[in-house]
Amino acid sequence: MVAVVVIAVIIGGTAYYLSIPPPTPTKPQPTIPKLLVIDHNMYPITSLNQLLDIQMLPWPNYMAFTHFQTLVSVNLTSYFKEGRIEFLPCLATSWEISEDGKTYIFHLREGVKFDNGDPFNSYNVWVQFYGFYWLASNGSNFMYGLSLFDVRNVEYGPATVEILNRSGLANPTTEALAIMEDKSWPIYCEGPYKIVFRLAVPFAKEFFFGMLTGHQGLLYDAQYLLDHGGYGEPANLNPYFNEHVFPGTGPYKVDEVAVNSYVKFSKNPNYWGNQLSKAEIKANAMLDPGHVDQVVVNTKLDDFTRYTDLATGQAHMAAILSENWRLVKANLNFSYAAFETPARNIAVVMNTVIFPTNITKVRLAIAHAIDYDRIIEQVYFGQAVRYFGPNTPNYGTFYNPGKLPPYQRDLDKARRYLEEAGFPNGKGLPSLELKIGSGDTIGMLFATIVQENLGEIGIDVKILSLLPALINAPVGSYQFNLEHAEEIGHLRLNGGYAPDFLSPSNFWLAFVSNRSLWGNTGIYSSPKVEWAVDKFSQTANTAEIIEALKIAEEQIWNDAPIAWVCTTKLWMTAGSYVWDNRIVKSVEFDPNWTGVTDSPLFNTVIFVGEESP
Amino acid sequence: MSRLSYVVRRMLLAMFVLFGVALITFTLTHAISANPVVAFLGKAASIHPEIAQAYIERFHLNEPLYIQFWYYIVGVLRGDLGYSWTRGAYVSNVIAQTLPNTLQIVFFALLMTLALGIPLGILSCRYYNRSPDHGIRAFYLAGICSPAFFVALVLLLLFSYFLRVLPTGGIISVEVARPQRVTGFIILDSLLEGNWAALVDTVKHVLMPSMALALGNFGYLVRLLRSSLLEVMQTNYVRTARAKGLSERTVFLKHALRNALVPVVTLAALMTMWLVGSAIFVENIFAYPGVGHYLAQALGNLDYAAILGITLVFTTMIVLVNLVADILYTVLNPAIEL
Amino acid sequence: MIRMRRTKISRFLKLYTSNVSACVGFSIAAGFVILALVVALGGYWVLPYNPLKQNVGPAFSPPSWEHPFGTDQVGRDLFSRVLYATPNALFVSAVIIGWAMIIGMLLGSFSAYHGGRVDEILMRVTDLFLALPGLILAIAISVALGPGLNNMMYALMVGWWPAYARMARGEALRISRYDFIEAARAAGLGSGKIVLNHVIPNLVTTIMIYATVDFGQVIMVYAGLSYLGLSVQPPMPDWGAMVNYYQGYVVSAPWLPLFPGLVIAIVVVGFGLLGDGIRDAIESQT
Repeated sequence: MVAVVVIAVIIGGTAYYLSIPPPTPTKPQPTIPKLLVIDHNMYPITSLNQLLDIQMLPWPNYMAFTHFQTLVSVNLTSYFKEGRIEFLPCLATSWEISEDGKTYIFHLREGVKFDNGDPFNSYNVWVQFYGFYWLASNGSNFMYGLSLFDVRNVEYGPATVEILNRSGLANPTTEALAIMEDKSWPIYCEGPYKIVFRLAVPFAKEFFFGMLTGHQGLLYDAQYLLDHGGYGEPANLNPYFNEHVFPGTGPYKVDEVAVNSYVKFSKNPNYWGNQLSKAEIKANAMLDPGHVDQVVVNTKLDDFTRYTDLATGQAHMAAILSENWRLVKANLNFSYAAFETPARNIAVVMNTVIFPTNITKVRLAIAHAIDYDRIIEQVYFGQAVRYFGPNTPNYGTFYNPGKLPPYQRDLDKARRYLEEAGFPNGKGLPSLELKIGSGDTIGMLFATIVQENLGEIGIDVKILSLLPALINAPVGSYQFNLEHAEEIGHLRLNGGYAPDFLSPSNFWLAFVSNRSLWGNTGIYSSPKVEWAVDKFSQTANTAEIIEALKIAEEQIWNDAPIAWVCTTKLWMTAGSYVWDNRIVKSVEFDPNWTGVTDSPLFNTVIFVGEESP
Repeated sequence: MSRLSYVVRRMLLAMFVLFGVALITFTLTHAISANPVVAFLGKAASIHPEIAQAYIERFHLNEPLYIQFWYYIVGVLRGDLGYSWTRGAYVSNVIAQTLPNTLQIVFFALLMTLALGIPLGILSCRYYNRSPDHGIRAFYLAGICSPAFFVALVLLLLFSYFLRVLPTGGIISVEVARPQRVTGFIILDSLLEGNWAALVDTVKHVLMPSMALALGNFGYLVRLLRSSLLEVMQTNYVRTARAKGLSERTVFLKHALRNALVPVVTLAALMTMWLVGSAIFVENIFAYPGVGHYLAQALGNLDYAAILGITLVFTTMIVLVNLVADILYTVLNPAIEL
Repeated sequence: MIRMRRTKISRFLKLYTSNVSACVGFSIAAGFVILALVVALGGYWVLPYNPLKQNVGPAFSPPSWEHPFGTDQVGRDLFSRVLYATPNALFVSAVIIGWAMIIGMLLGSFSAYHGGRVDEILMRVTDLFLALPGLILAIAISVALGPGLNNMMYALMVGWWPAYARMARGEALRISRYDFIEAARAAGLGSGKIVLNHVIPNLVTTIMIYATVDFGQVIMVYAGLSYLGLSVQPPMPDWGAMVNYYQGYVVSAPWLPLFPGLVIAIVVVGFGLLGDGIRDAIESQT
């Protein structure tokens, strides 16, 4: 008897709970906080060891651009509001580029110190770059896998490090200088404030500067590296730096690290930009010395936890993902990061090597069957726009130079393509495999919609949810993918690929070229496209490159290896950083579009009640 | 058979069990063809194959399975459980950091189970087959029959979202100063240091996970105590005590309860086992940095070393707990033959 | 002999039906089984909506008359999905319990009957399997073999039978001492025949009672593994997996994770009440 009552109470209670509206966020204090609390959803993968930068880690890198800085920085205003990439001086005050696009000379800012007092100079940069060379097992491809440098004269190893150890980098000995200023090496110094990069192939400024603002461009204190045991080995990095963060030149320094929990920052009193004028900061927001004394970035894995923190005022900013996005949208006190020139590239990639997706008409049918608008509406909350890739709109003139229209859903057309291919209504087609990672809730949502869409024209799609460790097992370079074509499956979702570095060449190389080092799961290659991709490293004349891209794009449109779905405006694709707009007025984000990090640039947070610069 | 030889035999069995578990788990987790280095490095493995190669050589991943197993066993005997990809640290270090957190939850869950279970068990016996008995049964049935993750979700919704009295997750709030790490048990460390703010805060954080586990568990205790008490109350031993003229309460507390608690002790030991296993779900929901949380992460990323290491550690704990339970049982009840 | 049995059974039923909670348990359990069979045999057609079809209603609509459990983020009807997943639970539990009973009974009774060395060895093996951390091992096996209903069942089977073997052995030991077994042995019947024809039939009742209670436990463990993603793959609905899938929406759309979890709890409670009722009825008889 009592059991029945209890069960009834449970069911009734559930119904009652469901009718209660969620609590409204508490009213914040009017004063500007002393400690800015940010809730992120991931701790830097592996550790905080900046030596992992050659492995494109740690990611997300909470220290990027706030603690570590780069030689040049991206103009955030022109990038996010106008879709134009422009580079501004940061740790390099000026530069000279040769006509042939092969020699880059940087003049470094004088008087800059790391937060521990060590001086910043060209020798420091030199040691860091040759460190990449050493950690790539002395490979010439140490910059993002591209063979940009001729390293035949380079001899860098423990012996060199010994010499540097004895010498120190603040005032190097003649012995050390002989090596660091040796002009036969591809990267060399000319005095403490001038460094020269001699590339083996021409590489336009847009591309090379993009590289210098990526993972491998974040400059740390190499003297600290030498003082605490050096690099270690390529597969056995010096673990000292896992929790002891390298000193940086940026506006904030790291105070405390709790692995997998949080990182605490405070203002760097030695920051060279502390005396910048308001006008200078307005011109380059990334140099902002910061408006709050202390910052903590928390890692909280659960979306609900982050939302509650935000709602109760325990966090001023939080990453809120799709699960609780509806609550954010409904609340006028919350603002979030959404960008006018979107850059996350979402696509359905089709395997051009295995049957039946190796038939062009089949691919065209698929490309015309997907309900792009419903995906944008239900998966990305309407915060996305259609596009035609491989580049995304933020790349300005490099984006879709031929102005080709994106594929549109047209079921009749799709059915006709299938018929012409010899599979009327899908008869004769095997089930297509669509592989996604388990735990990828957005991907799953996306996949279920695609599955239903393709079902409408008669194509049966099987969604295979694989463990994260297995989903990328058969993916690698173009050659590797070719060998693992069956394992890759027919269809793959690209749910927001992040570029390694900010450059129009990146996606072309990654998605549609046989020189791809990772990402070409369509295993696609076509002579016209390869010819265009070659241009990136044959000439520094961007106009010529753009003309070539136009031709390549037409080829891609007709071959349809990839159904470009949309680019998302929300910072985290199906969610974003959210803040209480009664406390925070504005904030900027990493221009690399999560190529380096996706946490806010907390030195740019401006509070309500402050006057903005 | 003397107690010593019994213990020795049990320990030998335990080692055999551990070896078997290691072998099975090792074979199974390595049976999948995926290369853990590539899975871990992802894009970097393709862009810099030389780095991947260096990792492979460092961890002997290109050797045949039996050689890898050999290295693994040798390592384990030295206390080295391997390198964990997902954390970028040695498995033994990570487990050393996370295990105390799980044990904290288990400890509090056990306390709550006893606190709930013993009184309710006694009441159940007192009011045998009357409404309180039925009510208690409904309550504990709801508990043991609800999956741990469901209970956790409900508690989360209730206490964190609607009532706002308990924090949503984690082990300590970020504003509170952490105590120095002495024992590794953050609650104990706070107590030792006299850091009351941290103590209160960490206890608040451990309440919901422990409650979720306890609610799913105390039912077994109630049920066992109830039947055990009922049985004891019928025995000659108790009848004699009553006949002697002792008060009902003395009879109950001194004679009946003491004997009825014997199986409860062994159950408590076994429950620890179950609690540790269920911690994986609860830690997941409350993002409590314990071993369960680590295991969930390791599973997704096929972090072999971590999965193996955790399995071995768990099995060791279970075997030890079983051993202790058996010994306790014989101590409390000398009539039992070994 | 037979009449004694019949009166025993009718007395049992009387005691059982007088206990209300046991009746509730029985109706829940019976309801579950019937529902599972109906859905398994009937497929989509018996359900209010196609559980896999999207946009049958507006996305994220809370519980209403058209959609008693509400809809999810692509507009699928949750009620249909929960119902559609019922046969899975029944199938898995039936297979696991069936297997555990058979292996357990055979092994346990054989071991008890023979005694001596054979008994020692078999029980050590059982102990070994009993000592294996069930859940962890199940997870490890499922991970190794890959996700999927069948693989998960193999994983669970490894861990489930030892308890039955132990219990069967205990019961068999008790039975082996009965006179009629001695008589059979004296009559010259082979050990196998004795075990099969005499020992086991007397075990069956006790084991089956335990199995009924255990049924609910299997469902719960299965829900746990399904929650970890080791069972059926999406978009096929499955109770535990659904709780995980919708877990993130616990605040913005609480009906999504709560209803599947509630259903799991109710079914397991049903079996629990059923088992308790049976146990009480038998105990009151003695």
